[in-house]
Amino acid sequence: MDSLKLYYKSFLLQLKTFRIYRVNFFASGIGTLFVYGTQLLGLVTALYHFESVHGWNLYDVSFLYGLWLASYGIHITFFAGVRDFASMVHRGQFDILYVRPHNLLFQVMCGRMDLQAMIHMGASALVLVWSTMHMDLQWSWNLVLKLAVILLGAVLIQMGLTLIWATLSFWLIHVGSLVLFGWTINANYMTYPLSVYDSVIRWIFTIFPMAFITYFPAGWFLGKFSPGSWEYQLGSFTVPVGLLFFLLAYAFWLYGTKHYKSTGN
Amino acid sequence: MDAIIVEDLWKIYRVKEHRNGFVGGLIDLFRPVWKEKEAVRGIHFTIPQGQSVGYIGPNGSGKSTTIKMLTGILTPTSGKVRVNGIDPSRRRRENARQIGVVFGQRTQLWWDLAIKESFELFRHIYRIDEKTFRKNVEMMTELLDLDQFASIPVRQLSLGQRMRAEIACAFFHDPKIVYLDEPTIGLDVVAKERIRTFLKEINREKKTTIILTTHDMDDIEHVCERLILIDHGRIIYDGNLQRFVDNYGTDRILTVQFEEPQTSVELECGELIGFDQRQASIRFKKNEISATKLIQQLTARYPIRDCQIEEPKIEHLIRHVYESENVEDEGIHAHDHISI
Repeated sequence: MDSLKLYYKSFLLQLKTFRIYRVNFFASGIGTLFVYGTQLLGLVTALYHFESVHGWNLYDVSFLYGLWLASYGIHITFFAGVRDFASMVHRGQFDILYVRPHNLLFQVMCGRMDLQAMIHMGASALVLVWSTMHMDLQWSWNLVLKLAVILLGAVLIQMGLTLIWATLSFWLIHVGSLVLFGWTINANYMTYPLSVYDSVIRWIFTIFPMAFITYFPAGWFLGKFSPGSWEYQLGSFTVPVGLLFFLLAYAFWLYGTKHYKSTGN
Repeated sequence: MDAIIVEDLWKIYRVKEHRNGFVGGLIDLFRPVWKEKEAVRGIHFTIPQGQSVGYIGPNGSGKSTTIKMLTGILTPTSGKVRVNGIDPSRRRRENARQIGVVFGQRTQLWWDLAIKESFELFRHIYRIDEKTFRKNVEMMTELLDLDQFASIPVRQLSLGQRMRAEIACAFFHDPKIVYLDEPTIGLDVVAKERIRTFLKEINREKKTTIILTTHDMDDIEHVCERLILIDHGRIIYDGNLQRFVDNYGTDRILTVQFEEPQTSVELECGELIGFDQRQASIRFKKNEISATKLIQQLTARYPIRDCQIEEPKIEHLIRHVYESENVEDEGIHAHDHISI
């Protein structure tokens, strides 16, 4: 309860800061929209020529993209501090969190909130609504629950990924390019159906569970896999997989905090 | 009760050794050479509650590493640390509730907001009840004179103002121990003086244990009763500050100006360390001859216009201790080699 209050107070302070940098906020918001808009445009163009890839048409792939964007946006709402963790270690600011009576990860989360997440979520909502409007889905409470479940699983895996990149900065001082590499793979590979890739890549993304962000859950949700197939099974298991992955990432993080070397005096 | 107990504390880092040149750099990428660096090598001390201690050492002496182990930031390689009976690296959060830390080079305040906003956040971080919080904020505001800039964004404050606010933040939750890591770095004389006075007062009134690391010996002289010197990861002096000055600070320097140029100066006592016809500097030991006697001897022979006596700065004394220690240290290493 006290922790929630602290989170809320930190959030209020962040809002005050945002008020000061309004121009910056809008400028970077427009920038973000451009990045994702271009990506989506590329996707639409590709599918316009091919009509469908491995049984996924334009709207299915757009749904995949929407799911990716939504999960990324929700995870950034809470994990902006974790995403930018490397610079915190680099500047030595992480030391300060050790001398305060709270969980370290919780403090990193409190330390930074990114209102850009609203733009992510707004854009993803548009894409999701637009793509599902063109499908003949029978909307029911059951289906809404299913959507919530796959979103939760996807968010957990996004959080696990970001936490792993952050933990690496305990040993490597400059992880910037590595994180960008991870993000590029995440944002570019996961927004297409996994079945278009080579079997080696498919296996890699199944074991290192990035395919559970979009491909398996979306295929399960949209009925792309025949019930009983292994893809279908995996698709229905995204929340346990996400939970397990996140817990492993958290264990890695805890190991890292014990081996933190700190910088300067 | 002892606030801090440190027994046979070691911290060994594994650091990468860099090869020379471009090719060396490439090889480094794939086959790094690891080297063990002993930052803290088996130190001992106990600090009773309410004491103010100056923890001094040159850069790279293991000073910051010790403070980081005491505050729970770093895990010791071996040895025992107890702060209020708690092992800080194992029970970090419990330890954190009872300590305050000021990092001279890092800020705990929100850069774009006024300090009172950051203060309010501290109330939630430490779960301080409203009454205690109000009382402490009032006290800090008065002692550190924060009122005049309480509603200006931190980024617009001077370094001295910001530092005062940083120090205030460490005291709101009534910590038993406060660590200050170079709190006066880069400040002007007036700002330094204000901080020293504050620390002395808070140590006296609240019986807060104060551990101060600094490069400014005047800080130590004004605030601390005890001095711990560390160098190369070992403690080389631990004791009363006044006794340190008495033991090591027996040298005085007398500088005299002559009415008319002299060709030479002859002394019965002391050592001539500078002479340029109109002026002479003489080093003497205060337990061998008193300053008045030395001046009397000089005036008997030479017409003197002015004179001035310099006491040694603690800084010089400490440098002297380090230098003699280093000679010994090399001796130990040489011996190690022989035994191998």
